[in-house]
Amino acid sequence: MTSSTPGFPLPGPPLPDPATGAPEVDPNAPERHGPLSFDGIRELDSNPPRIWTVIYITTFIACLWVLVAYPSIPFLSHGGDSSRVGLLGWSSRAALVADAGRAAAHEPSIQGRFERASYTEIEADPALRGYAVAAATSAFATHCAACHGREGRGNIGFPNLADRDWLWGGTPEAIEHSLQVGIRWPDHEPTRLSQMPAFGRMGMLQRPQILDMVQHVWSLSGMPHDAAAATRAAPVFAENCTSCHGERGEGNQELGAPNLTDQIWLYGNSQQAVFTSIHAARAGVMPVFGARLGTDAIRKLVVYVRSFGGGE
Amino acid sequence: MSATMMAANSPAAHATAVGYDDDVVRLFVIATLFWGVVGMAAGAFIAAQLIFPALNLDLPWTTFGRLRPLHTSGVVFAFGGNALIGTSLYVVQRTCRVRLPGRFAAEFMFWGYQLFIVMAALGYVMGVTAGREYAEPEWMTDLWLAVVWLTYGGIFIGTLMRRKEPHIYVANWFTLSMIVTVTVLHVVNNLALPVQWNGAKSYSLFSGVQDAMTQWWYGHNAVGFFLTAGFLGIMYYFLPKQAGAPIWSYRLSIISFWSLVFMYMWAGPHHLHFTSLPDWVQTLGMAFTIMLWMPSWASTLNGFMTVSGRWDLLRTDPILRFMITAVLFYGVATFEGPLMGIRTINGLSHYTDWTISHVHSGALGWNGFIVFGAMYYLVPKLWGRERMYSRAAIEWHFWLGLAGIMLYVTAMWGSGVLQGLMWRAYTELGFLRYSFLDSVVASQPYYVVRLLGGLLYLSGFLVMIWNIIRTVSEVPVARAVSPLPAAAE
Repeated sequence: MTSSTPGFPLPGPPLPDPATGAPEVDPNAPERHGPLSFDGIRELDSNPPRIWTVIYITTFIACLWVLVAYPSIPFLSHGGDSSRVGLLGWSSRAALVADAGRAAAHEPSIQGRFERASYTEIEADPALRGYAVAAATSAFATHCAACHGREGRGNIGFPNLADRDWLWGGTPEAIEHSLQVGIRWPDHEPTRLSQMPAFGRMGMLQRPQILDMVQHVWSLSGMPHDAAAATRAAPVFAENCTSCHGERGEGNQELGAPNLTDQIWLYGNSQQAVFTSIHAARAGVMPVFGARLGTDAIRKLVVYVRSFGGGE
Repeated sequence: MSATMMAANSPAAHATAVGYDDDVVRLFVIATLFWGVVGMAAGAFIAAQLIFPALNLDLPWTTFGRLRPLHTSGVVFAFGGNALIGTSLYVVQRTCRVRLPGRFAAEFMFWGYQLFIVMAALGYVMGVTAGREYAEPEWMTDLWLAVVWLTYGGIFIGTLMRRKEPHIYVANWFTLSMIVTVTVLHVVNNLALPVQWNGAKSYSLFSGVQDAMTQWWYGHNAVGFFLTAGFLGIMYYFLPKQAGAPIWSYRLSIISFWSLVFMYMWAGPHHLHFTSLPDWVQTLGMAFTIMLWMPSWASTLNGFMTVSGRWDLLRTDPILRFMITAVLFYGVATFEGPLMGIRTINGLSHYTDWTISHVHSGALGWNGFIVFGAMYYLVPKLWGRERMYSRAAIEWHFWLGLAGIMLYVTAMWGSGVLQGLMWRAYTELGFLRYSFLDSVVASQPYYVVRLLGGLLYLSGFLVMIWNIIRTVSEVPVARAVSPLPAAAE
């Protein structure tokens, strides 16, 4: 014993019994190796406590029951209905069907009315409208809020849904279609599709022309601008932009071409932002929700989105 | 060298006269401490990222997705792995009373293992990943690890084969089962087809639900054989040593060992409840998970009963307190685990922070504390010092660590159950009451507590490192501590 403090620092051989000098050992426990030890470690051979043995055997029996009661045999359930394998007739598929059946049985009676009603009827009926909003709240938070914001107010590049400016139309039918097919979604043929040319990058307009065009675009919505530059750009606008944005820049929902006269700016109204829009073009994307959510959920989302106060 | 070998070979040689290979054990101890800081700091950082997303720094290398495997592999394989290999080499030499075989194999294995860690970590940060939980490195890193691991197996088995004891001590059974099983797990789980000549990308040999099952067969047994069997090996040597008491029941050791080895292999499917995994596999996994409860508690009991009759040591010996607390957390985690493996309970706990809580009560409480206890035992021996430099620092480490665990585990229980309940809450009309986002927002306060717990745990670890540095540099060289192959240092 090199230590004067009992127990610390402990690295060392077993503490001797103060009286006899022998290591403490339970006298009733048989010792396994007799005098053998491993680097000074000896092993007793005590019996496990009875309660431990009882629980061990109990869990074995309980698990045997589980294996018989629930499907646990591969060859019987392979490729088939595993509910026929276990004694309880349980299978995850059958449980799901039963759950879905219970949910259908408890379906609010208003659901049938909602499915038959037109958008006009739904929005005129507070009960139907409230039902749709209640149904879509969580779906919007899950699928839409990441880009459009929890209150639908949008973000840079993501349209505000609470205003009356709509790129692809704000009627219920137009919103439903946008949700069904997505916007510029790759490899999805019916998706809403349009692409403004990158006038600068593709060499169609030179840098001074684009700077003039920024002034012209500003002039369309009555923002302070350089009148001379705006006038210089007018013929270029007529030649390159009116086919989509309209003669007065009022936009075209058929093509998703933004209205340039309303002072609502998806990518900001700074000179840099407008310049980039003309130079490199923009092409926002929204996923296809038709296959993911189904028509019923999408119709509820349409009503929900319009409840922000926007829409047409 | 030859003198010590001759001494070891003489019939009269006693354990104290054998010049054990402790140079490599010392290296492993240093690596354990180093990687522990890296892994735990990474954990604290990603915990902070969950509260302040700006800490992703908008750089691909520092995003949560890349740093998380750095944390998990860093603490499991770098910190835990170095501790496991190092202590097992220390234990196997002494319980067999022979040196390690080979002159360079152990050093090769040490540096090879560190190279593996560096290769894996660089890959994670640079986005080179096989995308397999706890097995993220790509194939070339996997191949290198296989070489290193087989070397480790060769060294360990070679030592056992030349042993001078008639029997193999229980700690070595557990380590051996880890070596054999991890070899099989590592090879099968990482079977993949490289698809590039100029890059690391590969695809798994398995697909779909078979791939998922392979991954969790690996993932669960990485817990079962690396974090459980391997660390039980640490417990079965260092706990009786530190308590100065015999192992309570050889019989329980046997039952625990063979039950664990047989049943763990089947339990992986409980990670895939409510998935497209066939029902029969899920049921099998669940049943074996429940049966694992008592075999796990067999070793818990053995640990407790070994100290039974000298519980006063817990008051006077903080090192033993570390070890017994570790055994306690082992018991708690192995009770919670089978509970969470039951399908209905899993329906609430799966994909929530409850799982994170469970993992960390095992990792921080069991794995961490048993390693700390073993380190406090080992360092004075390995560096030939009379004792650790500061007893107060060990006390500080213990209480900082325990407070950290309690904060961490309870916070993650709270957020886990909260998430599980929010995800299954319905309105009167039958619609989901909350979105996923709502549950994220609701979890935030718990994440602050979790970060605090993690920082406490990390600070306790730093106290230990300070204590170890002072021990090696300032505590006088002991003459009574033996064996002392390092006395020349």
